[in-house]
Amino acid sequence: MPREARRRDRLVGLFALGLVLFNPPVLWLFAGATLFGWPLLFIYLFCAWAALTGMVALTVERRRMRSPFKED
Amino acid sequence: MLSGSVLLLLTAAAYMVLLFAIASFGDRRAAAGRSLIDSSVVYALSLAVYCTSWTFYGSVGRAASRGLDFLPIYLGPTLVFCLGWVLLRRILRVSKAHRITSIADLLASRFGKSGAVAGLVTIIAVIGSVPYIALQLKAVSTSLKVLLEHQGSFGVEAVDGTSVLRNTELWVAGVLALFAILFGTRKIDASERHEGIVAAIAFESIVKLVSFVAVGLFAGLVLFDGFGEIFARAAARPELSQLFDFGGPSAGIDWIALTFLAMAAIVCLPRQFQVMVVENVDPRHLDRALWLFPAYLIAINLFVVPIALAGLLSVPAGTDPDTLMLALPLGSGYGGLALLAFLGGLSAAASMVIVETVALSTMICNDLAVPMLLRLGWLGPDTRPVLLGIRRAAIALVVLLGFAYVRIVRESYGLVSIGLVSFAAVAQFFPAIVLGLFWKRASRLGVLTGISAGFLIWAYTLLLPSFASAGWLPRELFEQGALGFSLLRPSALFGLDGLDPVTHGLFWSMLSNIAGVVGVSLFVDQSALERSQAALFVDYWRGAGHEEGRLWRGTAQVADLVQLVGRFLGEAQTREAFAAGARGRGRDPAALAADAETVRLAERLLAGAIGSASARVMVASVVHEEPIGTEEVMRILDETSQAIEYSRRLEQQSRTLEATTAELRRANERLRELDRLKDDFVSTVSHELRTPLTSIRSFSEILLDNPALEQHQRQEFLRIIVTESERLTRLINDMLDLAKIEAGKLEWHMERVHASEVAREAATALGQLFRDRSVELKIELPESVPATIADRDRLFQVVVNLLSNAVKFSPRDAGLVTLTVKTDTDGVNLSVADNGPGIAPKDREAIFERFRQVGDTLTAKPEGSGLGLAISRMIIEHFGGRAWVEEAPGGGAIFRVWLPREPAAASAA
Repeated sequence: MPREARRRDRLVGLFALGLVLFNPPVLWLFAGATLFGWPLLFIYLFCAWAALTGMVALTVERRRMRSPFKED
Repeated sequence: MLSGSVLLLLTAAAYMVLLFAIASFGDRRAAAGRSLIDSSVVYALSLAVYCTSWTFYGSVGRAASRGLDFLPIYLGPTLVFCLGWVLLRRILRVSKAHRITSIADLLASRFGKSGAVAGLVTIIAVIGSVPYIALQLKAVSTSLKVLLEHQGSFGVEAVDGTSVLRNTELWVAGVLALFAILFGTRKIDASERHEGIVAAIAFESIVKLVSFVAVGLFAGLVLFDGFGEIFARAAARPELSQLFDFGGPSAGIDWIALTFLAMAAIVCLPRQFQVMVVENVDPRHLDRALWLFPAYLIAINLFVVPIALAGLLSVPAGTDPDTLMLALPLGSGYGGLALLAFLGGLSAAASMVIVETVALSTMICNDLAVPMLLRLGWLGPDTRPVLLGIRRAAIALVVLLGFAYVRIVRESYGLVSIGLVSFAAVAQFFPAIVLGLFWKRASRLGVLTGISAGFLIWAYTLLLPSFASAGWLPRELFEQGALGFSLLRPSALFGLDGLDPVTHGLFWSMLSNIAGVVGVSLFVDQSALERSQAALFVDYWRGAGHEEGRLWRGTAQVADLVQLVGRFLGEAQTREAFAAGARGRGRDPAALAADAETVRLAERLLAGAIGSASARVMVASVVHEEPIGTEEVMRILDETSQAIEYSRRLEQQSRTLEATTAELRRANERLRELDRLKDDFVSTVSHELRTPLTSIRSFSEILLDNPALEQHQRQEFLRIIVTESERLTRLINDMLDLAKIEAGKLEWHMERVHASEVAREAATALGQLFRDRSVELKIELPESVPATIADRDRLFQVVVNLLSNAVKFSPRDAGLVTLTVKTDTDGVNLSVADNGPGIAPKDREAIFERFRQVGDTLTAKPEGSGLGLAISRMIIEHFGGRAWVEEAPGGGAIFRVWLPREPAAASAA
């Protein structure tokens, strides 16, 4: 159960990270610019979104995987 | 030749038939006990009912006019799913435990099984959802209209489509209502799953995704030369490139408001609650859905912007941006792709309408109709046909309301605006849910106040303006404010001007909502039932559910309860459920007493059918309940939470105790082992001391008793006595050394020592011994070795010990002992190899123990005390080095000593 609680806390941490990444003022940093002709804000939002979802997947599915974090 | 409209209608009809087939297959599999939907992937796909035609057509439309502004609607749910284990899992588990049937039921049950809360929530949900259902119907008919305008794309004869179109919305509404009635109202127990519907929804989610991605790839790869080109050409047009500017602070506030709105909606929308909680097969499916559902959202949103830009670049100006999904393939003659897109949009609309109407029908039936019937006393002995009839009628009614809304409001609002207004209505439940699950003091009155206030503000700021734009209300109300007060303008309440209407309405409604819930809860006391329900919901994790039975007291007859529940669930099923409940408690089903547990079971069974509020009223009608005062409930709950706290502490202490016990046991074992070693040591020492003493004493006695002994014999005996005395002395010296080292009392004279010098001195000192035994001593010493910090005399003692051991075990006359010193990176290696019999691997550690001499000590008494190697190892370890033995290349033993190099600072000094 403590391991489960630790993973739950990590998910809450990811929630907080998502709040920061998906909202202004961080979004203002990427507005209006382009990267190789692609709108930077578009690229940033989808990359951050995919990364966050990937981290949720890692946290939730780690039951069968070796932990990438050390203390498990 | 087939006309375009017939082709279209045939396609749509065939698709609906397929859906019916899937749903009926899903139901049959469920009946056979082989659930089609018992998988986390199907669960995640069914959650994607969130993506309606509003996503399918509306997102593209919104992206075409406002850029990335549609994304918060999907980022919000992603964030909420990060909280899956904190919020969603709690809702899921609590709802399962209490057989919750809808979002209205959840709130009612939490706030004292309150019929008022259930009714209020139901009314708001219906008012909020009807425009949304209307939106789906409108999307289907609009998409049909667009396709019919381009009949030529299908290579078929074009006919006038208006006759077909005239009643499309009615047809669509009718078919979807039929579907919902057929598969959504089969069983009376609303907390049971509708597996057929979920299977169809999951399938539709796949169709949605596939057709959206197909159009996206078409836009990027067929219509344009890669997505880069779309962006490049859009960047060249100022009105398009500005879509990727993120406006100033006000746009930021809108973005945050939308994110919050979507977070609330994913939890509160009746259809989301239906698929997420009611239709959930196994709470563990939520785990994988926590990332699968956001992944689905990413996939379906990835192409929204490219499609919107491609549409704006290639479709003639004046095209409705909400139809770009169809106009894009149609404009370049890809009729088949447009048809696929149409099916995607149809799937999106159909899944939303079906699930939403089923969810709303449960709420209307359980939380509005049943309480009314109860009050009027119109419920007959077998209520099942009545309830099912009400649910079916409710489905038809909701769909009909949606249809009427489409007809009346028509084109006045864009798709996305209607959706957001709906979201804002159901978002009014969000504070009550979150506070209700985490804050025990949130009270019924507070929630009623908060939700009502929020809803009124919502209606004033968001609903009325949409009526006004439809021409139902005078425009002056909005331009000048109610009663002519400009402070009361719906779009700028209290002078808050400049915000997006949705942001504005959401801010005021949420503010009044939360203030109502918190403020009233803080100042108004809860009733006894509210307190106990609050404890059951908030402390669910701490096992408070077990105490539910203690919070009820009264008298009842089992027969009455069975008859009552039987009216709703059927006689046979009820008896079975009561018997199962009795067996679950280890009681004889025949002799079941009508105690608190049984009454609770009856109420729970009823709650699954008609909701917790009505179930409570029903059970109260056949049970004589003794009221438990607030004071007493508080006492019981206090006791419970104290007991839980005590047991938690007790558990913790017992764990600590166990750990301590284990430690003590280990220490005790170690002590015993030491004790045994000490006994062994004492007996060995006595034995070792007695042997030389015995021989000294016997030879002395011989000399004493026989003065006339011959000279050479006397000499011989005296020599033995001297040898044995020397051996005794050596033994005692060794033992003293050992004792001193062990006690840490030995004086060490640490200095810089060169191991090779010590080795050479030792070899010289023992030269005579080697010559006596005709054993060859080979010395391999380098010119210089790094200094080590050691006690020179002790190191000398070690080398002498090793050399004398080696000579002892080397064969006489053919013996060869090699003394080597070598340097390695961080120390000095000294080794003594012999060509004797060697040491068996199992003995290689043992020989470093005291008095451990390898070989048969009975037949061949080795020389030496048996302490030499033990002392040597201790000395070396004191110098920070190691001593061990290996097998020599030639077969003998090789004793190795490694000493660390002196620290750099010391050598510099």
